[in-house]
Formats: sequence, structure tokens, C-alpha cells
Amino acid sequence: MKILFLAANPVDVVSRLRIDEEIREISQKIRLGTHRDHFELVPELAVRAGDLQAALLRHQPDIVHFSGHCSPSGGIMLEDENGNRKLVDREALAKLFSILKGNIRLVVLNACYGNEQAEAFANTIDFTIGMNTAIKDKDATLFAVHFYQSLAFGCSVKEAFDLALNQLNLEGIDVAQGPVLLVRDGANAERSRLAEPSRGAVAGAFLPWLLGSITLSLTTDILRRFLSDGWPDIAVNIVLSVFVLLAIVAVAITILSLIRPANALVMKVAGSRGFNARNQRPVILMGIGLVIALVVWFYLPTFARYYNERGAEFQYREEPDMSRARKSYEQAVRLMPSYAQAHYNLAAVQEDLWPEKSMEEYLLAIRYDDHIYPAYNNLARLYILKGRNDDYESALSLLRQAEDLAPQDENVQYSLDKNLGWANYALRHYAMAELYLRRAIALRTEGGGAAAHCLLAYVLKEQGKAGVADECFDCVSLAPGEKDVEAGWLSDAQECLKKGGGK
Amino acid sequence: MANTLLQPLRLALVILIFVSCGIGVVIAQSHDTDSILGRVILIEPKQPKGALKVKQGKRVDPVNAVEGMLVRRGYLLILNPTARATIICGDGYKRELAPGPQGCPCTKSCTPEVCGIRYDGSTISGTRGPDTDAGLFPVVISPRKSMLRNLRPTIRWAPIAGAKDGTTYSVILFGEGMKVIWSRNVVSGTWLIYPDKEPSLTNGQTYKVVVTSNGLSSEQDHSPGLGFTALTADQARALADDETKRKQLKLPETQTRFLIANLYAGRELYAEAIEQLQELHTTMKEPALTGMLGDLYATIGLNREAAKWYLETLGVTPADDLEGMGATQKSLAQVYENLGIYDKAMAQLKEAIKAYRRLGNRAIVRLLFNEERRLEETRRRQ
Repeated sequence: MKILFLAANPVDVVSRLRIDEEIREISQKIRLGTHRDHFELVPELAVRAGDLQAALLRHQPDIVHFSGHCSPSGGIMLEDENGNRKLVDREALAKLFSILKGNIRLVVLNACYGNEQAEAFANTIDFTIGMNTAIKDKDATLFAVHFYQSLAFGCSVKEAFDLALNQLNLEGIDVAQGPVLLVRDGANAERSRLAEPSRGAVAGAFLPWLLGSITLSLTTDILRRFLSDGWPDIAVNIVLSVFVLLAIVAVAITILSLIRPANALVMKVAGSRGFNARNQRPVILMGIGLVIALVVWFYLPTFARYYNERGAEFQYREEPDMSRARKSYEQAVRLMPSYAQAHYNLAAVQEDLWPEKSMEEYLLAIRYDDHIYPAYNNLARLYILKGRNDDYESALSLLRQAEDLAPQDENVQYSLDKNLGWANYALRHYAMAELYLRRAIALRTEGGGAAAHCLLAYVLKEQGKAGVADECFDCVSLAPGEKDVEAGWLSDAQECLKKGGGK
Repeated sequence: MANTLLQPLRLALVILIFVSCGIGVVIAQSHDTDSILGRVILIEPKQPKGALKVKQGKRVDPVNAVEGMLVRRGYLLILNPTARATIICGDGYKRELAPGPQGCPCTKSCTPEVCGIRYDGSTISGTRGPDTDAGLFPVVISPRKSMLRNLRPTIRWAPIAGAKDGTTYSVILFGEGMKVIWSRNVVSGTWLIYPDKEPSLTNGQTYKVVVTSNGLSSEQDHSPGLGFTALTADQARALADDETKRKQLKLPETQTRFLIANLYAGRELYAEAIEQLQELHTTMKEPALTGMLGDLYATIGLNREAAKWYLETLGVTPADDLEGMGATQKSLAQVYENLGIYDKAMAQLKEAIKAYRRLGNRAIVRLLFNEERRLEETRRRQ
């Protein structure tokens, strides 16, 4: 709370004022107050009319205190170049304060006849104190000293004003025509305690902290996603947790400071920062940092897509580089953990080397996109290859889930039916298996479907039915270029053909 | 236990779904018309035959494969363990076959540059043209309806009926806008080479050869597009690159030249493809070569020549090569139709239908039935 103490003591006025004494007394009394840290007294002496604007602009005060003389016709007296009185126009001064109001909440015109000028401020400034009549220098000082003393002890403006008047009474001074408190419409002198920081100021003091901790959390998260390949995960997680915790505390304190700015915890945490909301540089810097971090964070899916495409390039080029493809897909899922396609691709490239990891990735792909049919198919295949009854059941359940989603694509339908046939065959449900496999083959009107033919050969053989040789023929003759034909099926079908087929 | 009880219920449900979806009919394996994947290009040893057998359908016996034979998706190739066989695919690369039964190792549809201009099994777009046996007027045989790489081409024509020694032919080469570029009189001959001393033809330009004699002119042949166009420099470069690739396959010379002739045919260099194949014919008598000559002549509208080559092809194709027989009969039917010999055309078409029926290729059988109806219609109108 900055008090700008403006003083003018023209030499050509008979009664000389003891302004230095007033400053000393006010300062001393404020220092005794429990809220002394919130007050700062800035004196500007021998003020000329030309100094006013500069003083208000430079100090941005919360309280303006004028100590000097006022003209009985209204308007304060400042000094000219020679130290002689210079009357300031009442309306012009009121206009100046309305323009440069800034944080000013209180104006004290501690001068004879200050009331006229005070009235001119009453529309702009929350609280204005003026003197109705001439007042002795000593009395005016006494009034001011006790007024600020009360403010420094956390009293409201009204309480401080009444206490100051009471002090004059106690001293036997008639105050009937003395100081008056003018309150702007909408302001509340009873409830306004100037020693308490305003919500905006306190919250403003925490803003850089809040922005900074969110920025740090985001930046760490972004770095973790980009660089965690090779970073010890636990260290990254600890650092990230600390920053996230900081951000949460910052949010909590900021909210608290908005609800109860004078809360002891808030005051303690704010400490030396002094609620200086005017210093905007940290807010701007942290704000820029946060915007950059947010932009990068929102673009993470784009980066993820880039890495996914890069992986596909490595995977499908003439000489595939599976290791780099896998790394690219891993990067893509780190950048965007809900990226189903990248999980699917990552699963597909490591199917042969690490089927268990591959299954986890397929499950993630399905979790993030339940219409990613190839993931159901491939995962079902891996379950079947594990070769246990439980796994066959899991495969069957997965395939039924996919079937329930009613895929429209004929290739997907074929693949689902073929795998349903396979899982049923593995579970020895031969009749079911035959139905699914024949349905799969029927979908391949343009030829193909070697895998379904291979499986049907097994199923027919198990059932002792005719047509095994025909299925072996189709299995072998259609197999080239069909990736879903297991090597074992093909060699069995070739054997079956060599022996003249089946049964 | 619960699972055992559920099983029949589930089965019944699936059957119900199948029937309600109308998918109860399991369609027999059918071959689409684009299912030719590649060509057998090399079999070693060539004798005794049968090192590589091809089973063209489930219900037919395997046939001995010969070099140049086209292979469809769904054919079963059975390689004798002591033999070696190479397939060339549409991408121009070769694949070695493994011993034992297997499908065609090519995975995509073949291209005309490897499997010939009739490779897709459909009837080639033969056009009506003059009967070269009739000799009513001089007929330009080469170059016609073709692209051309050689900028000093060999010009051939069929003589007029009753031509004797001393018959003079006037050969005129027209450029674009029917501007005479060069002319020469030839006595008794039926070919000449565009001379070295003349300025060579220009890349990308279109030309036409006209031969006249005794008041008769090759212009009496009214079929369209009788001219030829020299390849642009870019096309010539691309062709040279592909030729080099064929040579790099390190196949025996005959096979390489056959592939290059195929490449020419695929790039519409019909005159040069014919020239190359006719030279090769002295050493290679396989049905693939004669069949391709038939296709080339049919394409440039010389139906009589085409018929001769197709008939030769039928003569050298083993009777059990149903695909080879069927494809040639189908093309021969078209050529006979172009010549207006409808009875023969119909007979060949019926034979082709028979062959494809035995193969179980419903798609082509359907196509041929449509052809049969159309031919019947045409014959009635004539």
C-alpha cells in the first residue's frame, strides 16, 4: 500500500506548517502497526503544479495524502518556482485524479477548507477526507497520525476515520466542523481495510508462479515424451511429479488468495513478494513460456502421426528396416499414448520377435479404437498360436467382439471368418469351423483365400469328409503373396498333395 | 459342460445367419480374367518333358509345361526335384521355382510387356483388314498400325495377285499432313530398307507407307490407323532401359530375345516385335511364340496372317493344355469372324468354351457365351 505524501508549504503564507513533523509522526505510527509491512510512505515535498502528474505516474500510489493549504473558495495551494503559493483549480485537479486514478483508493486532503476539493474527488475516488473549515496545523497532524495508525493496525477506513476524530475529541478539540469522510457510491468504508491486500493484487503476485509451474510441468512432460528413450524412467517421473505437485500447490494458493487474500498462509507464502502485481515482466515471460509449451503439447498428435508414417516408410520400403520402424512406432505411442494405429503398427512389427509385447500393444490398439479390426484378428492369431484351450477361447471371444461390430469391408469379413474357423478348429468345434471357413471362402469370389482353404483341409480331414485334396490344391496354389498362410499349413498341404490328398 | 450344451445352439444360430444372409451357396473357385500372373520362361532340362507340370484346375490332369506358357493364379506348379524352372512375373523379374507342388510365385497380375498383348485372356482387339491371300491390291505388311523404334525401318508389302517378275511397285513414304517425304520404285521385290543416305525419320513423328502398282494402291485398304509413329526420344530411352533389364536376367539368348519381343509388343512396337519373333521362330517353336505372332498380326489387322499363326499354335499346343488351346481358339474365332468365315469362327468358339468349361473357369465361359450370342447375331445379319 503506497502512500504518496504530497506537501506544499508556500513561503508567502503567514502560517508555516510543520510538514516534516507530520511525516515523521505518520511514519512512526505506521511502523507500530501490525500491518506495517503493507505500507510504504513516499514523500514529495514543495510540490508544484507541474510535479503532480509526474508524481502520480511515477509512484502509482494507493493513498494520496496532501498536506498544505487550501483556499476557502476550494482548491489546494501548491508552490510556484519561487516557493510562493499557487492555487490549483479544483475541477482541473479532480480531472487529473480521474485520469490517473490507477490504484488510488483514498485521498486525504489534510488542509484547511479541503472539503470543497474533497467533494470534487468523491465521484472518482472510493474514499476522500477533507476539512470543512480552517484547522490548526497541530490538530491536522494529530488527525492524520492517528488515522494512519489505525489503518496500520488493520482497521477499516471508517473505523480509522472515527478513531482519528475520537483522538481529537480526547484532546479536547472541537471536531464539529472538522474532518469529513466522503464515500463514493458503491464503496464501503466500514468494510474496506486498506492494510489487507486486494484479491487482484495477491492473485497477481502468484500468477508468475502458477504459470511457471504449469509451464515446467508441461515442458517436462513434452521432453519426457520426446527423449525418454534412454532416460531413466524413474528419474523423469520423479522430476515430473515434483513439477506437477508445484503446479497443483500454485493453483491451490492462487485460488485461496482469490477467496481470502488476507489468509495467513497466503501472506506467509507471498512473503517478500509484497503482492507487487504491477511487475508484469515475470507474468509476460511465464505466459509466453506457457503458450509455447501449450502449442507444442497440442501438436504432440501431429508429431506422433509423423513418427507413425516414418515407421511405415521403414517397414514397407523395398528393403525394410524393422528395427527403425519399431523405434519410430515406439516414439509415436510415447508422444500420443492413445494413438491406436501406432499401437497396432508397433504390435505388428514385433509380432514374431516378442509376441507377448505385441499382444499388449494390440490390446492397447483395441482399447483406443474398438473398430481396428486387424488388431482383433492379429491378436486372436497370437492367442491361437499360444496353443492352450484358454487362449483359443480368448481368441474366439475377441473375434466375436469384432464380428459384433459388423465390419463392412470384405477383406476384414474374410479375415474374421477365417480366424473364427481357425479358433473353432483349434477348439475341435469342427462343424462350426467348417461353416466359418466356407463363408470366408465364399467371400473370395475373385480367387484367393488360401489360408481358409488350408484350414478347411484340416477340418474336413478331422471330420472324415471328402474334398481334402481340393482344399490342399487351393491352399498350395493360392498361397503365394498371401501373408496369413502359416508355414506349417502350407507344408502339410504340399504333403497332402504329394500323397494324393487327404483322407 | 455349459460349453458343450451351448455348442449345438451356437451352431444352429450360425447356420441361421448363413441362410438368412443368403450366403449358403459356396461358390466354386473361379478365375477372374486378370488372374494371369506370369510366364514360365525357362525349364531345365528340356528333355524328357515333364520336369515341370502344371495343374490348371482341380478336376484336370497336370500338363507338361513348356517355355513361354502363361500361369494363372490358382494353377498348381509341380517341379520335379531334379529339375529347375524359372517364372517371369509382370514386374519383369524372374523367380525360381522350388521343388514340389506350389502356386505361381508372382503375386500381381501380369503386364502385356511380359505376358503378351493377349495376356489377360480376353479377346484381343483384332480389326478387319484386307485378305493378303486375295492380292486385290498391294497390302503394306510392315510397318502398319505400330509404334517404331528403328528410324530406318524395313518396309514390307504383300504382292498383288498374279504378280510376275518385273512387276514394279512404287513405295511412297508420307509424313504428317500427307506430305511426301521419300519414294522409290522397286522391281519384283516385296521389301526394302529405308536407305541410310536419306535423312532418318524423326522421333515422335507419324508416317504412312503407301505402295502402288499397276494402278492399284495399298490405300484401297480402308482400315483405320495404318500409319506408324516413331518413338519419342524419352520413350526410346525407357525402352532401352527395360531391354537392358531383360538382358540382365541372364537367361539364355532365345529366352531373352523372346522377352524383348514381348516388351516390344507391350509398347505397341508391333512391326519390330513381329520381326524379332519371326527370326526367333527358326529356333523356338513353342506355342507361346507362334501364338504371340498370331496376336500381333490380328492387332495390326492382317487377319489371314494371324489365322495362319494361330493354326500353327494349335498344332504345337499339347491337347491337354486346356488353357493354351482355349485361349488360341478364342482368338482364332475372332480372326475368322473378321475374315467373314463365320462357320469356322463359331466352331473355334465352341471348342474354346469346351476347354474353359473343363478348366472350371466360369468367368471366361460366361464371356465366351456372350461372344457366341453376338457372333450368331452377326452371322444372321450377314
